[in-house]
Amino acid sequence: MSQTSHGAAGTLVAAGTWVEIQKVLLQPQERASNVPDDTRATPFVMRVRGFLDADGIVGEQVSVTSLIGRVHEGILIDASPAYEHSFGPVVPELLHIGRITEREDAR
Amino acid sequence: MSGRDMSYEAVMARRNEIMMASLGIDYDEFELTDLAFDYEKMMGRTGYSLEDVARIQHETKVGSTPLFELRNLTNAVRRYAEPGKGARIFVKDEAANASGSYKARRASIACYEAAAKGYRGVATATSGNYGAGVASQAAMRSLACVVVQEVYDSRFVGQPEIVEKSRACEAYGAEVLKLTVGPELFWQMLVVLEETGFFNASLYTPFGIRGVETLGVEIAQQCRDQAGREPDVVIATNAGGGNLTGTARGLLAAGAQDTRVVACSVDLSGLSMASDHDFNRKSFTTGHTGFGVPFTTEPDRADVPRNAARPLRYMDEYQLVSQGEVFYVTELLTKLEGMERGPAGNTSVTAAVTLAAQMAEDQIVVVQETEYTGAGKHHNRQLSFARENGIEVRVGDPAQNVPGRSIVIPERLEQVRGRVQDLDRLRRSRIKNCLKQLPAAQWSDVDYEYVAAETRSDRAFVESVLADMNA
Repeated sequence: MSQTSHGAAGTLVAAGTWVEIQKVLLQPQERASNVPDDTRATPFVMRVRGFLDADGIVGEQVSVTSLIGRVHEGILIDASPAYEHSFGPVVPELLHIGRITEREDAR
Repeated sequence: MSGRDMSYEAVMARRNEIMMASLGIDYDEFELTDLAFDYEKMMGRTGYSLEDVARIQHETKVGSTPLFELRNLTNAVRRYAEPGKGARIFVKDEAANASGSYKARRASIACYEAAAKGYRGVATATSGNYGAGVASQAAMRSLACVVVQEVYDSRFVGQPEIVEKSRACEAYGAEVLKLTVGPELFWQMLVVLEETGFFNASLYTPFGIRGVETLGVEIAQQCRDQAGREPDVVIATNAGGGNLTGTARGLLAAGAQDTRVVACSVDLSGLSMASDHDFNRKSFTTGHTGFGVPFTTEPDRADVPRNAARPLRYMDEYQLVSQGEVFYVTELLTKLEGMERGPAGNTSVTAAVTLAAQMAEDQIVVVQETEYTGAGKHHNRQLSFARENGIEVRVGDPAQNVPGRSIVIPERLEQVRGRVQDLDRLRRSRIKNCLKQLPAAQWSDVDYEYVAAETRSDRAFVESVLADMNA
């Protein structure tokens, strides 16, 4: 489920490509006072997808235009990003539940 | 907007003016004292009748969802329940709404209002189904949409269920801002509202809650039509409280005064909701005690000045279930009833099993929602993800479940027992939070009346709690 950069750093990506960028919104020292210590040790980061405004290089600063036409700036981390979530590997602990062989109402 | 200070402190300090501009509601007009406010006046502020809401919702593919009887599940409960016990279990198939959950009801009125008032777009901060609901409703009303989501821990591991919500929101044409863990999500939401001038489609405005009232009305009417009686119990999965509040208000509006309204949450006690470490150690992203308890005892912690969701005013009982019990019942629902649905409604199905086993055969318990399921949102993915994050998953006695450490899936249905949460403890906690707002020495009759309504109790109860606290 980890979403890391697909294009290797330094890869040239053409203007207009659907990409994902990353931007640090708050450094650890800028975070809210009510944040738990483990969270406060990390920056507050945003990722957003959009169309690359000009040719760009993975790992470098770019700007993108989102689906609703807003412009965002950040580090280019992925070109043509995929949705990679899935149903996951089988969980055998679920397979005993509701089996027809164990149902008293089965014909 | 250029030139404005967008730092955390500066934006939070502008919170009230941003809220005013993005909602068009002056919450000050509902305030009665330094503690109390006029809840019903606020709810009436939408200007929409129940009929208006139903008509608006029908325009955008919301409402009139089927109510189904779960006969096989009921029979499975009757096999181990005492003779004469085993109430009929029904489910309101809210997955049939556009975007696949009851959240479309909440989003529909907000988006209608935004369009009617001439806003170009809507924005919302949510990692749940509500984002997809807003994005879908916004698409139908030709509004631009921004959804702000908490998706990742600091390793950029996304909670699978939320990654799916990101996808759904983008599928409906929204811009999705995917954030790492932290309450600063609210700051980012304010930044978006200020930058865009969009309508604040918060979950917790009167529009959001009025939109759910039709759900309660439909349940009362369909139950009368199909079973010849009103439901004895309606169970609502509880997180921010809007689901329960709106449904209960709808039941009352439809004349179902005797129906008991039961809250249900997944027990995640011991896990911090703002912790980077704990973020991916929970298998439920909502419908759990990490939201359900604090929002019940302090509703105004929401992203609007006064939360229209006030579940403690309406709940008769609060059931807790474990993660393992919900996963068991989710799988059983699929196998026995031929319906694959997501975790939110299935949390309530789990409580329904517990309650039905204790209720008479001729009684009726209604689960008031389902939600869609799919990649990321499926219980198999939640369990395999838990395993990848070091959580022990095994079959056994669900009483041994430890949130964040182990998920124990029952061997048999009769092990699904849930447990009851002490409502008076929640009432005392609500009263304690009221004291933080205004010391009891300064309470007037209006304040006592307000606190009694907030806790669904009476002045004598409130006074006895204050006496116990020496307040």
